[in-house]
Amino acid sequence: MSATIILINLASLVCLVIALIKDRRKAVKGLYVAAKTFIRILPVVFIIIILIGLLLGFVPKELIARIIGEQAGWDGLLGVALLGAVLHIPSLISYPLAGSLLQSGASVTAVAAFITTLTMIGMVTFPLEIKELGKKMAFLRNGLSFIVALLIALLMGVIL
Amino acid sequence: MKKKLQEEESRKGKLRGEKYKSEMCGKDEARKQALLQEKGREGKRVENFEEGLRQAGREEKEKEEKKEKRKEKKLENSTRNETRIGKGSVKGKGNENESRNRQSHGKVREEIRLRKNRGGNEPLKAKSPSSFRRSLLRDTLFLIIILAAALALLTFYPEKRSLVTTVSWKFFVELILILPAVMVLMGLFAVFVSREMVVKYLGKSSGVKGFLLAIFLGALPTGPLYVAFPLAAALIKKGARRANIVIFLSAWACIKIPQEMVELQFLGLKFMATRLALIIIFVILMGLTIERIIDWTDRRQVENKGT
Repeated sequence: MSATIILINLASLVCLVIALIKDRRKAVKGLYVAAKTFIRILPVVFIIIILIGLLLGFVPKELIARIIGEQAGWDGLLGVALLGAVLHIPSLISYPLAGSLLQSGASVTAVAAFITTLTMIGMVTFPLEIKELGKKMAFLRNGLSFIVALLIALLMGVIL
Repeated sequence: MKKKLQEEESRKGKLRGEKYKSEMCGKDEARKQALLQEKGREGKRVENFEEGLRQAGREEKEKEEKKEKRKEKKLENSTRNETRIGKGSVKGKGNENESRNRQSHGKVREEIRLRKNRGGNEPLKAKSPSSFRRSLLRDTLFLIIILAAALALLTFYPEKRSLVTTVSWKFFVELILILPAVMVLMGLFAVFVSREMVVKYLGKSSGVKGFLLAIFLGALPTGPLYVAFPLAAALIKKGARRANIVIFLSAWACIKIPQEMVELQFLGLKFMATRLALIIIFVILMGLTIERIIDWTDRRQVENKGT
């Protein structure tokens, strides 16, 4: 059991106690929302767990390293960033996947690019963004987010 | 490839147009059929979407845009027609058409519509029961397929069995220990941090304090990104700074306190802290840049109108 797990469980417990003291009805509602979200996300969790197992078990490290490893070229990085932009995985679940990719030979840059575009850019929600905020803003935000994500990823590769 | 796609697009467009005509005439049978077709197509699209997006990324984007445009046009037409006929409240009818359009757009828009209708005081993550069940069902189905594939693979390669199961088990234990806590945190944030609060504080803040507040407020409440768009739209109407809105949206998208903790667990402190710091810096820069660009284009438009 790692410190992070203990920390987050403690934090949630403290928040829950505070919430219960402050407003019991709201807190219960929050718990209900939590339970619902948990159930909703559970199948995806299992999918990702199985995929991680298969990924580490069957895909050779050399292959991952060749596509998105330290020595891999721009194609791999751009491909991973685009994949992150287009996919619609809950970001919570993407962290274990990213961690397993890192374990199996992917570079920090590629992994950072993947999770950053995954969280910042949503192709699925893009039409809605246009509708709510206007075309200019939506295009600018998503376009710049992509560039920024790549910059962050490259800088992380340099720093770490 | 592109040309082919376009051709297909236009064909689809015609089909959809026909569907629309039949709807307008009120022929129930035709409408049902068209809707069924539409559903089938949509399902196919979703499958493609999840499978092979690496290549299709750009095309998909274009497709979405075209679709959006076409739908908006139709919507306009239909509303106009109804105004001419003048039966019933125009606005209500328009909404009906709108909702029909949105059905094909998937659960995301559906949820937004429902949430909007329910008024602003609801928790940020409220979902309609039907779409909840539908998406749950879809994911479960997907899970069964993946599970079957995994089992098949493991029967053919027995030597990999122990490795795959130990890895999966390790991740399962970690996730099952961490996820309930994360969900409780997110649920509590979603209920206690109301939309009004965000709009109230962010609408009037300015300067560096505004940026930090935008990041903080974006990091607090939880919920998917699409929940934040109506909020951001409300902020624009309230006259909040563009930069703050962009920062708020980006922070909402990728800085979440519970999620950072999950990142800490699976990717390590160094990775998480560096990424967080870089994101904060770049998000502020991005907000300022977008603000500049929008101001500049707006000014140019005004000048063009003046001359």
